[in-house]
Amino acid sequence: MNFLDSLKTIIDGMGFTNLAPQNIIMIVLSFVLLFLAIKKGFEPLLLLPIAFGMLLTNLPLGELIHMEFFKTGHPDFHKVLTEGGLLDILYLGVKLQIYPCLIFLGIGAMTDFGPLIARPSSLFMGAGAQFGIAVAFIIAITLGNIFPEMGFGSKEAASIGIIGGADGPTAIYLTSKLAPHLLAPIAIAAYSYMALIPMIQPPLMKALTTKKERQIVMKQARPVSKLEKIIFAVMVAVIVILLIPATAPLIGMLMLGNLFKESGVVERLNETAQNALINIVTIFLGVTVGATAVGTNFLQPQTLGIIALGLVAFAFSTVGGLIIGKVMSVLSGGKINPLIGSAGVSAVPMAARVSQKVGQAENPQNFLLMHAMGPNVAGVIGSAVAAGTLLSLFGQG
Amino acid sequence: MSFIESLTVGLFCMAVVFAMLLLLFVVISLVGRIIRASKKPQDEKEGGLK
Repeated sequence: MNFLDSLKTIIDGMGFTNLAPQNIIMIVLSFVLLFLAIKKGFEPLLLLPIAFGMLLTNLPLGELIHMEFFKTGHPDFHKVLTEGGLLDILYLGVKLQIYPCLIFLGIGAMTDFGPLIARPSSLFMGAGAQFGIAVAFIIAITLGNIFPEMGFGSKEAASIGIIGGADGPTAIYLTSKLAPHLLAPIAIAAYSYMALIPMIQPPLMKALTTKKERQIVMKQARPVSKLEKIIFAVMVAVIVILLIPATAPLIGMLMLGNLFKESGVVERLNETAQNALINIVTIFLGVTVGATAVGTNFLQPQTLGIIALGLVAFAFSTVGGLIIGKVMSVLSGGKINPLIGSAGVSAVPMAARVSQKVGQAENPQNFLLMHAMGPNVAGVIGSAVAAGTLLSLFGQG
Repeated sequence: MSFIESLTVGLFCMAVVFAMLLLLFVVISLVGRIIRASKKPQDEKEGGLK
């Protein structure tokens, strides 16, 4: 072999000579997401690892992840362990639905359900704000019927619909069970729209409420005892899981984490769940979900459909929460500010902060944050129940 | 799946979410009332001692 042949072999083995146009587009997209995460501060904890995973996986010949090992219903464990790269191993946590459940453990340890317990009627706003799930599901099925090449069957439509729950781990959990081939676009759509909540929700909130309604000042909620919070965690787990067993991994972990927090006797476990554990899992989840966005698989017409339907789902969920908020405002004789209804989408605490901001813009003396946290955490339970229902309907076969 | 079927599934899903959260509403309200009611006599008693 002469020098020129050796040089050619080296050049052929370089990534840039193997770059496909789709890879280049995905690399540019990853730069955009990195910009949004770093410069604009949009959900940086997840958007940054997702964007970097997307960047890594689209640099050819890195061999970090092999999606073909995961194409069938069950991962090819032998190939993953013998021929897999770093991200293949980490992706097992997504494929086996371990990460979303561990993230729910951390969320439970961080969440104060006090505002919800003090005003249980917040649950109805959390339920109304799942409306987008149903709307996006119906539209996805209709699109799938009109354009069969989009490949939107019932499982795909259910996975797209759950974006409306505004809950990243739930969306990943359900999608990895029902439509794993859509995991990358659905996860990226879910987290991107969660990051964009401060832009998506306010116009809808202003359009659906009057100035007078937005100015309603709510009375401070009653204090909630430790005993009530402990009973709440155990009771929600028992009732919800008994009625919809498919929610067990999500609701079980959420309430276990919350029990760590409220019991006050396992401070070390509580600390770990809400800091070290959730941070480690977030890194693994973000990087591996981003790494599934390989250009050749990601840049399909159905991805555009998913991105558009995700926005529809978010918008209708916000509308659903606001409508229930308005109904409750009327029923309570004007004591409830309907703006807290939009916080029923479960993006915690972003959606509650938006309610606070919009309310305070109308009346600087108005502090809606704690009132909005009630529907906000109710939305977490609501989206998990919706995911469990869809899983019960479509998870078989 | 036809449009009507998808509509039925969508409505069913929403109905389940509402029913579940309604049940939780009833249970949380009841438990809250029971706990507060059971605490009241004790508070009153403590107040009386003072």
